[in-house]
Amino acid sequence: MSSHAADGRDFLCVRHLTVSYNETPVVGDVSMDFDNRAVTALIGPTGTGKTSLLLALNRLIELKSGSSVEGSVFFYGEDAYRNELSPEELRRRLSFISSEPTCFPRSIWENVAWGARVNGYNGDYDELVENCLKRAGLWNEVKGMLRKSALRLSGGQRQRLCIARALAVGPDALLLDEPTSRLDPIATGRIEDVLIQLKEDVGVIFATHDHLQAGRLAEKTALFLPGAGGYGELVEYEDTDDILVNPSDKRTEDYITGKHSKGTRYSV
Amino acid sequence: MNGNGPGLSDKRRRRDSFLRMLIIVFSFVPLLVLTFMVLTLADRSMGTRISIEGRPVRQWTLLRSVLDRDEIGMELENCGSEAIRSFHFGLTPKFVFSGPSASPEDTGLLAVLAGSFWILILGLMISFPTALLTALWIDSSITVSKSARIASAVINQFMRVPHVLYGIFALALFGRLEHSFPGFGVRSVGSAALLMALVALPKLTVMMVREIDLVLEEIRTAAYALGASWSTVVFRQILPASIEAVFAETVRISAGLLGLASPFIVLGASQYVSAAPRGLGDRFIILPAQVFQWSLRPDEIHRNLAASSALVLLLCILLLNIISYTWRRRISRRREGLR
Repeated sequence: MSSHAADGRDFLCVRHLTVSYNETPVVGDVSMDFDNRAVTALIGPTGTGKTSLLLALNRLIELKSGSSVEGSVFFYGEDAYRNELSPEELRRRLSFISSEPTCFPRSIWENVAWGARVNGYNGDYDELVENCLKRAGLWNEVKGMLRKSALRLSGGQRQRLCIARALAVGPDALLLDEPTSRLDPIATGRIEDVLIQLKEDVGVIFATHDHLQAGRLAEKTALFLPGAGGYGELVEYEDTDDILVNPSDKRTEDYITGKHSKGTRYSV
Repeated sequence: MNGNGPGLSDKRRRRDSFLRMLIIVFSFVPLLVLTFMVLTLADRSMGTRISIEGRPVRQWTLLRSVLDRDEIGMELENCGSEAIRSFHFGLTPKFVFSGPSASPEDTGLLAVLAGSFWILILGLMISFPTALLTALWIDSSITVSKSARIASAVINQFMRVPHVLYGIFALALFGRLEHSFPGFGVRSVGSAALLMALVALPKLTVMMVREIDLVLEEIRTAAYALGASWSTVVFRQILPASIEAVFAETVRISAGLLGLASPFIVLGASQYVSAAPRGLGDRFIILPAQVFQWSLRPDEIHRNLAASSALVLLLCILLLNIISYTWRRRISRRREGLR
C-alpha cells in the first residue's frame, strides 16, 4: 500500500464530479473525500446517481454507452481520469460489486481465482481461495464443493462469493452497489456481518437506499437527493450518527423521517 | 356469476374460442405444406418402371402407377416380350452412397454430397473466424465507436442482398482473377468455397453479435471490475460463455447454406462430375444444383432422380436442424441457472 495510506486522508478524493448519460447529468458537482479506514455509505432515493458515482470512482462508467464524466477523481493523489494510473489498475484496487450478484458460469474455485489469475497472481491459489472465502464468510458453506458450479449457490451466497472474488485481487477498497437489495433479512444480516469484519483491512464504500443499513454499518454517510437541476446532488456528508440523529439540513431530516409526500417532493 | 368468470358473456367467449381455433389452424399451415412437399417428393421418387435388358425405358410415379394401371399394362405389351415391369425405389442406400455414373439408373449422390459438404466446410473455415472476430469487435465497441456502429449497419444490409447477386459478383471477381492467375478456375471447388464464405459471412456475423450480446452485462462488468483488460474480458469471459451457442447456431445456419443453389449455379456448378472432388482446383457440383439440373431434364427417370436427391437434401437439412435445436435446448437449460 502507498505511503499516502498512512493518514487515510488522501485515499480517494472526488472533486466537482458530474456524471452524465447522453448529455443529461444524473449526479452533479460532487466533491467529497473518502477514508479507507471507515465504512462510507451513499444513501438517497433511487435515481440520484449513487450507482453512477460508484462506477465513476473506478472508471467502470466508461463502459456504459453514452456516459461522460466531468471533474476529477484522485486516488492516492493521482488523477484517475488523466491516466496517471491505468483503468485496469484502478479497477483492481477499487473493486466494484454490482447489486445483481452475478457469478461467472464456472466453478466456485474458478470464480475466486479468476480475477487473481488475470492480474498475474503467482502465489498459492488454493490458499488464496480459502482465505478469500473465509473473509467473505462463505468457506464453511462451500468448502466441500469448491469444484462445483457457482450457479448452484443461493442469492446471498452468490453475493458473498462476489465479495470473495473481489477480495482475491487485493483491492484497497470495495465499492458495493446496493449489496443487499435483492436479499432476505437473514442473508442481509450475513452480508452486513461480513462487511463489518472486512472494514478492518479494506475500505468499504456502499450505496443503499436503506438509511437504517447505513446506520448499522457506516461510520460516514453521504446523502444524495434530487436537486434543482433534476439530477442527484450531495446534500450532506457527515458522520453517520450526525446525519441520522441530528441532521443539519432540513432536507436530510425530511428524508430520514420519510416526510416527503407527493407534491412537495423535492420541489424545483 | 354462472361459473364462466365475471363479466364475460357467452358471445365473447365463443368469439374468443373461435379466434383461438383459427390461429391454431393457421399456425399448422407450414407443417401441412411441408408434409405435402415431402409426400410429393416421395411419390415422385418411387413407382413402376418398365425396363428392357436392365435399361429403364419409362417410369410412372407411385400415384400414377396406382391410377393408370391399364396404361402401364398396354405400354408393357407395346414394348415387346423383353420388357420387364418392376417397382422402383429411388431413395436407396446405393443411390446415396455410390459414385457418379453416366447412366441414370446407376448414378449415385456420393460425389455431389462430398462436393456440398466440402464447399460448406471450407467456406465456414474461412468465414467463421472472420465473423467471430468482427462480432467480438462490434459487440465490445458498439457503444463507444462510430466505426463499429457503421460496420454493424453495413453487415445488416449486406445480409439482405439476394443470394443470386453474390453469385454474379463472384463470377465477375473470380473471372478477373482467372485472367491474372491462370491456375485459378472459376468453376472450381476453391472458388465455390470462397463464394460460400462470402454468403455465410454476414449471416454468421449477425448471429454471433446476437449470441454474444446475450452474455449477461453483469458478467462483463464483474470481469472489468476485477481489473481485467479488454482482451482478457473478451477472450476469457465473453467468448467462453457464448462459443457453444455460436457453434449450435452455426449448425443451424449451415442447414440453410446447404440448400443454397442460385449463386453456385451462376458461378457455374458442373452438370456432371466423374468423381468426388480431391483438390481445390477440381470442378464442383453441389446437391441443390444437382437437383435443379436433374429436374430440368424432360424424362421421367431424371425427374425421379431429382425427387430422390431432393429428399436427401431435405433429410440433411432436417438432421442439421435437429442437432442445432437439441444443442440449443441443452445450452438454454444450463443457462437458466445463471439468473
